Amino acid sequence: MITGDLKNKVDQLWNAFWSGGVSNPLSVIEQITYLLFAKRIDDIHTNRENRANLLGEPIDKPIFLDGQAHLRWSRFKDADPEEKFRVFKDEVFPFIKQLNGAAGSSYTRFMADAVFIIPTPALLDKVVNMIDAIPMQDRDTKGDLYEYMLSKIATAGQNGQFRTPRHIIKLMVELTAPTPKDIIADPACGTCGFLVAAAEYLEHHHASVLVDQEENYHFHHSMFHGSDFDSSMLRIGAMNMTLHGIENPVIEGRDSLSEDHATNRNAYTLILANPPFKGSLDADAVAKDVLQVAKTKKTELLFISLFLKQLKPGGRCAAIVPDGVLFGSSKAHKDIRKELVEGQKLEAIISMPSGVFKPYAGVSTAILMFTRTDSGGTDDVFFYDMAADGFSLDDKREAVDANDIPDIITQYQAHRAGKGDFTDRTAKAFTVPKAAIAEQGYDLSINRYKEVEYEEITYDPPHIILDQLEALEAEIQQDLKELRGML
Amino acid sequence: MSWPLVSLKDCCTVVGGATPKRNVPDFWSTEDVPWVTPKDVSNLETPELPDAPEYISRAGYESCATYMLPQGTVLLTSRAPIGNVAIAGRSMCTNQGFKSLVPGEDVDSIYLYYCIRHLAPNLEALGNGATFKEVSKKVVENFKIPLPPLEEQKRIAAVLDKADALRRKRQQAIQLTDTLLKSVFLDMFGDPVTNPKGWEVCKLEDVAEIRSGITKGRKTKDKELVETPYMRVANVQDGFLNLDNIATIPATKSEVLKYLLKTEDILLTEGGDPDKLGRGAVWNDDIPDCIHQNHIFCVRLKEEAGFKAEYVRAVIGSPYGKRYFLRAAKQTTGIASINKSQLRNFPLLVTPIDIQMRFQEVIQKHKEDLDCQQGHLRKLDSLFASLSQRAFRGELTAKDEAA
Repeated sequence: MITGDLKNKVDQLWNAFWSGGVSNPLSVIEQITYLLFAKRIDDIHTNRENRANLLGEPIDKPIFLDGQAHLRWSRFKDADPEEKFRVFKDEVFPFIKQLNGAAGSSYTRFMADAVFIIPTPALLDKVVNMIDAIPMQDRDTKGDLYEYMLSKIATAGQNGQFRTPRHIIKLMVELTAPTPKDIIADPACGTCGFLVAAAEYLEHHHASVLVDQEENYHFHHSMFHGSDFDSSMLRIGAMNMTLHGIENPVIEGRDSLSEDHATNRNAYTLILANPPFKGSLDADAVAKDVLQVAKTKKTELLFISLFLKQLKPGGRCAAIVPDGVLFGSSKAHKDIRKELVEGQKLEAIISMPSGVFKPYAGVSTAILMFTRTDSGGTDDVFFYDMAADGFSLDDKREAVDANDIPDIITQYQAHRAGKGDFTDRTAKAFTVPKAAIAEQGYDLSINRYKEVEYEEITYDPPHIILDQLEALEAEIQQDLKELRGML
Repeated sequence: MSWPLVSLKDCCTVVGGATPKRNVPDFWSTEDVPWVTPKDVSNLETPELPDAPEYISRAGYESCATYMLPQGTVLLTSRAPIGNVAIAGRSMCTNQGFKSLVPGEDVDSIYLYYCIRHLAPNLEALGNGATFKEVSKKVVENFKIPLPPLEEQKRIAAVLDKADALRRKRQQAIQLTDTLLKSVFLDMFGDPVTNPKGWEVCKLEDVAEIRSGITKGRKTKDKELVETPYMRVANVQDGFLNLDNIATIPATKSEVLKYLLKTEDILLTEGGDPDKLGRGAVWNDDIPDCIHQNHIFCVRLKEEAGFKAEYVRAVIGSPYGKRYFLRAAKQTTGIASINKSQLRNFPLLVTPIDIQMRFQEVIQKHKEDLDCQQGHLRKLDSLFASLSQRAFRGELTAKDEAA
């Protein structure tokens, strides 16, 4: 969480842009991102320099070549405003645009139409100084900083774009436990939150991705696939990945649902996504094979069909879906659910409280987890009734103690390992056999299976209450008399 | 004769309060000093506040400008809202939302309490503020109250206290009457959840016709429309109909025939907040030619089925029914509603008709009793209002002397 001092610094940054004439929040983020990036590459270069000096060898993969030293953040940040503006605009910015290897790399592709729009030397000077004062060494800070900045995009929620909270992303990554061999995709990647979290998870749990040559190459070049149709988002997403040290992720601008992009089928082993819940859709352009699963115009359903097509057999998926997907009564809803239960292997439904997406939206959602098998295999489906996610469920979203997330991970892992007893449906975690789900018409909402512990309300027997009433009545009569006496 | 008007500052000491810094755990760690906030005095049943729900530590007390108020102080809220009062049942301190009145020698606490309660609207009118109104210490100090001699104050206080207690007792009796009904239900049929008497269960659709009502804003081709009264969610309360406000809707003749309510029809809301699930009441032909809206289900029991409307309504509205609906209801963004097929599948306990008839009789009596008691409560309310008005105008004595 970004709090206090750091938050103030970011807010000031924002105000500086605002008063400097850049008011579109998305543009502000983009501009900040470029500057952060300029600073970041300087830091990386310095690290490599230090290592080289220590070993007495030439620098490994230098970012700045001879004669480019003046493009380094540490050099130009102290120049006078006019000079700084000139250097950044005419040299550093074009330099960043073509950085990161070949022209085909995802990062440069989105940078090609990036525009530097900071209008005045004074504003650039101010912003550079402010950014320089923000601690960016810690990767987590940077992520949170990003999240905080992204939270300022007031347009969130349009076209069904909801920013997925970091802790929910992390939960989904923990539950799916990516391995170094996985090919991970998010077909509605936005700012690439899922991919970044998956990368962090791998670095943490499978350090081999950083050491083993083959795995490392896969990690940097072919493991992460993201697509989105919002080019500004892509730029930010690609930046985000780069800032998190993934050299060449496959980030592409496309409408994942469309027929034009119906080529990437049977491609991934893990899909993590928070697909748009509604928003506009060009119904005629939707890929034919996606419509085979269920004929609908609802993006949340189309995306599930899409995931099924994009996954390799055996590939797994964790996606956030609005509750409607779980109980909706249209034919398409039912078809999709039946396909998941009968045709594929439905693993888990984690019902989330409706405040998770606040303040953007109060929609109530769930995490849907399944494995593509093409041959069924659904057994006991794991349900969890998440009541708290560690933050207050109002618009403030302040940190609170109540948090089910660690328990969800523990319980799910126990369930996967075949340990523990999940038959008690009054518990937060329980399993439901496939037959019971089929019996309910493939309704997957947790309410259908959850049992509320019944607290029997006991009243006094009628004659005792009548006694009490009579006594009270007598008292009232007595009081009335007394009152009359007093007047 | 009217009583002399005295500024509060001339008969009491007006004292404010404060909150220790929330982020210093030391100020809140121990429970040394009882400390009151406006919400603590908002819905009191009795004039006296015996103790504070929250405590602060000695260090917290020392750290801010709050003061210990002696027992008998009239706690007066100065904002959110203005004019709630309570008598401190022990020494306690308050937050900044109060301008409490420590009565002087010739002021009776209880008299002061009723007096401020009576004059609260006047005090509220003096409040200032943009987002919420607040009265300043100065305003409170200069606020004038009628102040008879101490003996007279005590007499007035005793009268008002008695009248106030009467109202409370009547409210208690009304609540108890409600509990009685629930107790009778359990006594006759047992708790449907555990079903101790082992009744069989049938589906509601097997014994009743279920239909939804008229849609507002629908398109009608028929030109001939009649303004027809209809039941909305607001009318259908838990166990009774609120007929204070009846809306009408233009409807065609065939629609009126289709949706017409008959005696013994059970009206049920489709939900909304989870606690509204299963809320319903029995139609008793209260309004002739009345129809119902689409957010209200009408359940009409088949004559041969052997069920009484009040019993069925009671089962549907019981915790058992709510439990069923809560499980069946579609819940998105905190709104829970039920549809016709869920209602059709409602598992109804099949109980002997003679017990149901007895229950129906009890309900009938209960309704009459409740009406009577509520009428009594309204009378007691006006009695209290009348007594207050006269007391503070100084007429209570005059009338006494004349009598």
